[in-house]
Amino acid sequence: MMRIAKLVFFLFLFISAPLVPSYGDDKLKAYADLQVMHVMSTIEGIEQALNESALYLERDPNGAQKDQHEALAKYVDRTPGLRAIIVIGADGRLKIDSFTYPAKDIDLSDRAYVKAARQMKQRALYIGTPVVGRSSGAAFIPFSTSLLSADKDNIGAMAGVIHPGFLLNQESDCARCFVGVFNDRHDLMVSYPSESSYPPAFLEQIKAQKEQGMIESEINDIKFISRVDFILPYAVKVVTSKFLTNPD
Amino acid sequence: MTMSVHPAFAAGQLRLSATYQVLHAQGLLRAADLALVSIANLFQSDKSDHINDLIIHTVLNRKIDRVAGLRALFTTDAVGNLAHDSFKYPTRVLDLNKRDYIQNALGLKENDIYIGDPIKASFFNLGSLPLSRPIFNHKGYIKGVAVALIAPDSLLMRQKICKKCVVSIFKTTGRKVTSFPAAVANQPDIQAMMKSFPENQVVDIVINKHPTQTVWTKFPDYDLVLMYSKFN
Repeated sequence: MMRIAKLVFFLFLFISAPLVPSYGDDKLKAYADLQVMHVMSTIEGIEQALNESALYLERDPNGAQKDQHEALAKYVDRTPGLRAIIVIGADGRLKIDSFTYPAKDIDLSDRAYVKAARQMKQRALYIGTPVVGRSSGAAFIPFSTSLLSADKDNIGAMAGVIHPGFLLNQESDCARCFVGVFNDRHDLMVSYPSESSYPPAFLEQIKAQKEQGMIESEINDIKFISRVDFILPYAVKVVTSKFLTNPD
Repeated sequence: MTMSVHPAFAAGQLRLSATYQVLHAQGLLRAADLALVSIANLFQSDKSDHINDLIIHTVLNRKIDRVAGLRALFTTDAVGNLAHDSFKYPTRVLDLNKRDYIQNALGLKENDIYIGDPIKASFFNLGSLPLSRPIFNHKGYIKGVAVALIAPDSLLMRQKICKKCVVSIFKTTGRKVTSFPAAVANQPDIQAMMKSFPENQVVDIVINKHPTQTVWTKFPDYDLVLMYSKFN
């Protein structure tokens, strides 16, 4: 695995690869299916935790902060991978933090995931770009949704943060495989092996792929195939790749 | 597809297939789990005592509409009397005190969940798997139990299971929750399997006089085990 990560990290390339339909590789398919299932069920769990939390808060927006903090902590506790759920008020400031009580009074209005949620007029899920936490220094991926009044006015935002590693299945093995997850803005959210650097030409191939299918690629005589899967409800792409020859 | 497959290759695929089914099943369990968190949060507040029962009945049903495979949601008081029920309104008079999923939930810590024994023929539905958790009031005293009923068949993704394969989910106590195909004779005892063979290791065992490759794997987040067998 380390060799593969190193290879991908250092390779810059000229990719000569016409799009070739349906190359069968059973192991790759099984591994890709698994990763897609993992990504999908992780995001579904986060979305549900956020939706349930939002419904809870909207029922009684002026409830005691301590009760709300404890209620949110319960959702976080039962959603593996979810580090925290935070509530941002109509003024863009942090109101409730499942992790810390009382919540720190900080201004989050400049965060992309806060801006996106505050613009929503209905319940939707925004999947953010990985960021490095300003206080923790740890990387996380933010998810957010709106908080709405009974009249469907936006009264704030609800966000959940996960460690990127939870988005992919790290336990299963597939020799010579690597996998990446992209959001709808083509940002690489996470890869396994982690910190993999995707060569620009391969990224262009991925971007150009508009439907589920296989891509063949060649980097400095090393061939690999990839299956591109779309998780449509979330506009997320999972790209599972396998080296056809030993990358040596 | 290929007729003869290298054993190590096939074992890897069997493990992947097993993990896939576990992830799928966990997704459904998680959805029921989070719905139960919401119910616990709702009833923790004293304000919930003043909410109209019909509204609560409707709220429970909305949650069921959102989650495929979730059959019912209901609550009881601290001694097991049915209090709110997605299935019928007005709530029937029903004492569930002796049910394992009520008794065990009453003994749990605040944010814990219990997976009960599958219910074969019940008042609510045939073939349900109960998940339960305690409800505490604002002062921290036990107020009741919240229960979700899942359709056990929904736990497995059948179209991914090969023709010669049998997949089963058990509680770690040994009770079978579901399998596909549904009626399977002479399945190995899961607790014996867990004692005899390491987790996630594909082994050659004979089931019902047929040679198989079989693997067992624990659910990461719930007290369940999955067994995946491919008949040769």
